[in-house]
Amino acid sequence: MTKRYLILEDGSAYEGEGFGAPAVTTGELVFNTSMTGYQEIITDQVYHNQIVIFTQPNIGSSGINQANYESILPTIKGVIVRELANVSTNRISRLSLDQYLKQMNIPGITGIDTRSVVRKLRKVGKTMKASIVPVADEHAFDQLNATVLTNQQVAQVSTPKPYPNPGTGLSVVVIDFGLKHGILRELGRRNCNVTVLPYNASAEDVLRLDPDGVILSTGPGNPHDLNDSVLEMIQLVQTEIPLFAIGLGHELFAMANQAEVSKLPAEHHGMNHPIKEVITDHIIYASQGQGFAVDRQSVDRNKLFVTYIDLVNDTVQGLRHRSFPAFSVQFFPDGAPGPDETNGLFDEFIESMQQREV
Amino acid sequence: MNSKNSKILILGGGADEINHETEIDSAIFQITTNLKSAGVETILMDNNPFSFSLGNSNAVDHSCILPLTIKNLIYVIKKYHPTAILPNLGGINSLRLIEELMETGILREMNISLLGVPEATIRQLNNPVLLNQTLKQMQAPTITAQSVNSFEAAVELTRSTGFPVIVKPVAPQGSLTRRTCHDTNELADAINIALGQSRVGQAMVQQSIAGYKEIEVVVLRDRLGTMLQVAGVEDFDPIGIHAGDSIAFTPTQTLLDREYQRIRDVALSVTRKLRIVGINHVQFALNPSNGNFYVIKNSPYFDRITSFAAKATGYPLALVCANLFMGKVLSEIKLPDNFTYQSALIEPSMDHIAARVPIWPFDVLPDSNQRLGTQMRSTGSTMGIGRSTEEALIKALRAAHFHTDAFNIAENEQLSDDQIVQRLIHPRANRIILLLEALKRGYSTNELAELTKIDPYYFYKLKKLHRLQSDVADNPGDLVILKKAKYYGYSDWMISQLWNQEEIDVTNLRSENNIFPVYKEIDPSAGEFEQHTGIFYSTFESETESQPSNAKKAIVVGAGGFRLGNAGAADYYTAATLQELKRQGYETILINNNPSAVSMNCILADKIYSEPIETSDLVFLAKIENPDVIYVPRVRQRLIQELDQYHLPLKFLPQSGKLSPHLSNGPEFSFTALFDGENVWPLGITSYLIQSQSGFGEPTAMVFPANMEESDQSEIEMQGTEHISGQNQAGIYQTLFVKTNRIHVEQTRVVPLTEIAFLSKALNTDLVKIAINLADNTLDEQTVSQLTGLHPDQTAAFAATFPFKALHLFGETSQSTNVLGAEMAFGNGLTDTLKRLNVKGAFQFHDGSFM
Repeated sequence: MTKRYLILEDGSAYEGEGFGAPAVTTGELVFNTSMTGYQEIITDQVYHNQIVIFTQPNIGSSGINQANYESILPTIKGVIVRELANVSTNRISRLSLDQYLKQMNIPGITGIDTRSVVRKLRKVGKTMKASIVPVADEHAFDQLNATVLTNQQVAQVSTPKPYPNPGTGLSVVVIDFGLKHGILRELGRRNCNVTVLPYNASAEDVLRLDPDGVILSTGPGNPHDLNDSVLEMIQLVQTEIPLFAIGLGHELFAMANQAEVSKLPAEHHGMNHPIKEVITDHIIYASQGQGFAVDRQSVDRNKLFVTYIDLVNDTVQGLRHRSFPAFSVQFFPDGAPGPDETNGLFDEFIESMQQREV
Repeated sequence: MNSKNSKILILGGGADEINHETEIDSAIFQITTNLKSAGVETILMDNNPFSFSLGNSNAVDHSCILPLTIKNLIYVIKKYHPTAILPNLGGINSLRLIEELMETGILREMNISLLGVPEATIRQLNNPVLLNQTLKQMQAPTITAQSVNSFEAAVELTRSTGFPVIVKPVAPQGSLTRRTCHDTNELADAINIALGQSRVGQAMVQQSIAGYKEIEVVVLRDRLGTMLQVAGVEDFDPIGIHAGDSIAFTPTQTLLDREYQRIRDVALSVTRKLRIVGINHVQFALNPSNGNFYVIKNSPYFDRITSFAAKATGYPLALVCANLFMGKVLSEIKLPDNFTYQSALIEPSMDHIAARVPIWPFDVLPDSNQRLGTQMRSTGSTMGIGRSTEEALIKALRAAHFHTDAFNIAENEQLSDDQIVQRLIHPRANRIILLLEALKRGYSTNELAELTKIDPYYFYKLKKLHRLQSDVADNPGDLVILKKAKYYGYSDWMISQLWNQEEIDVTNLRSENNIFPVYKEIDPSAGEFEQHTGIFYSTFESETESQPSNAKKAIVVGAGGFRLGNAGAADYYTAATLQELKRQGYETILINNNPSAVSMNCILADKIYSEPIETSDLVFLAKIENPDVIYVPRVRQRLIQELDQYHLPLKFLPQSGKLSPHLSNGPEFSFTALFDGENVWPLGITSYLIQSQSGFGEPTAMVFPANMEESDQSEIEMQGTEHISGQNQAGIYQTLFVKTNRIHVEQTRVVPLTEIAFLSKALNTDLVKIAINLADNTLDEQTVSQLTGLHPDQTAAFAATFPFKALHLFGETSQSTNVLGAEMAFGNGLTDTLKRLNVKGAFQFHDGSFM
């Protein structure tokens, strides 16, 4: 393997060995503390524009298999690990992580003191830009500093035109703000007849299909970067049909109902935070990946109420509308990777659609 | 705490056994300490003389040194009136005893509650049929086992289970044949035989899970039902080899997220169903070919895996459990101040890998059957922590094999290919070394995976290790290779062996080129928060996190993995040393690698280095910590020799006794006394007993004080005092005597570990503390006069226990090198005491007088 460097906007450089594609990329550097599910994480479009450091040091041990993609074309900018296990002859897979990243033109570095980088990110307390480069020279740092990351992430990952995922049950429209396959998987399991629409679909586009309900999907990026028309769409649709919003969808749902969303000092990606269900005081764990959060003070209690709270950073993790069958969660109830404990939210969504039918 | 938990009775684990070692005492010590500091009155009943908790007033208010019988239990309950009992700390034996207690009705009568595990659950845990019913009811996946009365019914059953299945007769008359069948032909034969052997004409057909992957999950639950997963552990060896005899890793190495999450879901729902409060350890069998999995065992107590999980993740498991037992819920429990995020609710995430390697007793007992199977044979284990699977594994192996060549492949090199295949199929202890040899001979991953049922992933890793080994051997002095070897966990000594150099040469080459370890802190948040556990491990990366203080400090070198020969006593001594040094104001630093050790906890040690203990591991640590004193077990002779050239402030921890050959035959006695360099203060005379089949050597049974004629006694005291006063250094010494027609002096020596532990309990004092104080010249006269003025009104007896029964060994000699654990009891006079000690009738003694 050849030398490759992770360089950070603060001027530091970490030497490791390259794997995956020999591409040079720049992105925001974030870390994920999940101990399982690297394939799902790498293919999750939430990481568009981002380079992910895995805190779990041993990555690649079960290869890449056909059942665990969370997108067809991953948009992650790079993968940083301590120890690549480049296994392909696994009981369930034929493809190694290295081969997969090469196919997808994504660079990786192994042999990095990932813990020290994570500790640095924690101490700095804000996201930093970083690049994966073959030589850590002045030029590389200049390039890094000059790079402006796109804010058109949703437009870049969203489907350009509608497509169906037919089923025999309830009809659901999924708005693709970056769509984790887990959502389609859960809807498929419940026989839903799904139509996926692009992120810029209007309320009319949605309602014209006469769906039983709508899902706002997980995203990448900053909800403020989207056009206000998205909020208008949500405002209209939520009055007509049951709505379930997840991740970026949740942030947009909150904004459509006049709550404020702000950037977190440090992004959180993992599955081990205790989350409290407000009504029952029940503690659940879920897959989380967020750089933004709904400001709790700004939630208009006449419109929305908070359903879930992350007990670690006190962020709003779930909202429900007081007047309409609309609710949202910041975390990913489809798991993949992560605990299944909140999977029942999809059943709740189905029930709210069924109630409407009666 | 509510009043119903104000006075808690805890049952100990008894003598250390093959199935449990010091982890029980370790859990009891940590939990009782936490309970006591919360104002709970604690009562502990146990008869393990090596228990650190028993008789320790920092942890336990009332120590009852009694054999663990229902009669004694009722006696203790009536004497102390506990408001609650913790039934599960003493492990499965304790749960069985509590079920017996439940049947007496005394719990209701005296209004005593059970903490942690409700009555109904205890019944289920003690009865596999009941537990299986419960699991079935809740639709947890369990192994299919059904009795059939015909071949047709058996074939029908295999439609759902698939092959292989295990067939055996129900209620057999006479002999019993147990067969594994791989197809219907074999099934027909087996059913035929089994039906013939059965008195009721029925055969049991059971789905075979041999070769499946074993996964173990540790979860916590509070009384309101909130749960979290502490760790998932993956066994390297497949089912068919007892989990305790398998190498294990945490976090799980080869599971897909969806498999992991489904297993987690079931572990949580089983724990919920059994209404367990506190810890639960659930074991699963995972069929690697289709991902189906089954619950195979549920253990709601502290065992080798929970202690491994706690040490590996840094999650303060015992502290949290103590609070759960007191009735707190997870959301109320606050972690110590060194955690910035102090909620107990965060699930541990690891940014390191921990490996657990078993230690087998076959070097001491070469006659035992060394094949591994469904019965556990290892006595203990070591833990290795690193930033890669390879590093963790190598470090755990180094910790386990410090006394021999960690990669001594000479024996394996001589095996023929046939023998290798045989040993791959029928695994023996330390198979991992054989696997490396097989890789060297060119066996492919697929072949090896097929023969051993070990996940191919591990062969990928072993191959890397094998390549590394040849790279090292082929490139003496190469700095890039040196760095790489260190990166993957090699010690300087291992490298020096491959380079045909002295260890010091490698160390020097490394120092000249600034290749030094860094120490990372084990942190259950994987770096997300500033969480300080005080537990560190070395690796060869860029950033070090251990910040040595300028305090007065002591490094104590631990006893390592639990092996035969009084390991319990050695760990007791280590723990007691830490306790005393801490009391004296030292910053206590422990280097150890046994996850089950009592010594390995943050109450006793301010800082723990979870490391193998070879010279190169210790020397750099000593350099950065710069301690005032380093305590090394005397038994580590090679280490002590090697350390000599580094001019470190070494002191020594005593070892097990090694008797010089007896001069004469007859009853043996020892006279034990304190010596401060000038004066001798007698503690008393111990009488040694001979257990059946004991050989010559260190006694394994004893009584204190000896019952003897006054004239003999004064003779012994006089001669003993004279001999001990001739010692060079202050300490606790003993002079050994044999009585024939007169009293002969045999030798004078430092009191061995076992006897220190026993006498501490017999005299209800802490002789380890006194030994340290004597050596430091800090022992006050008052303690001395109190102690030597003691005339115990009761006799105490001690007998070692051995692993022979568990290992199916007959005719082995009961000698100190084979000791696994020990029991003790008090009584009035010799006969009564021995009767009390020998409640189970397992011991046979005589006093040597006819010899």
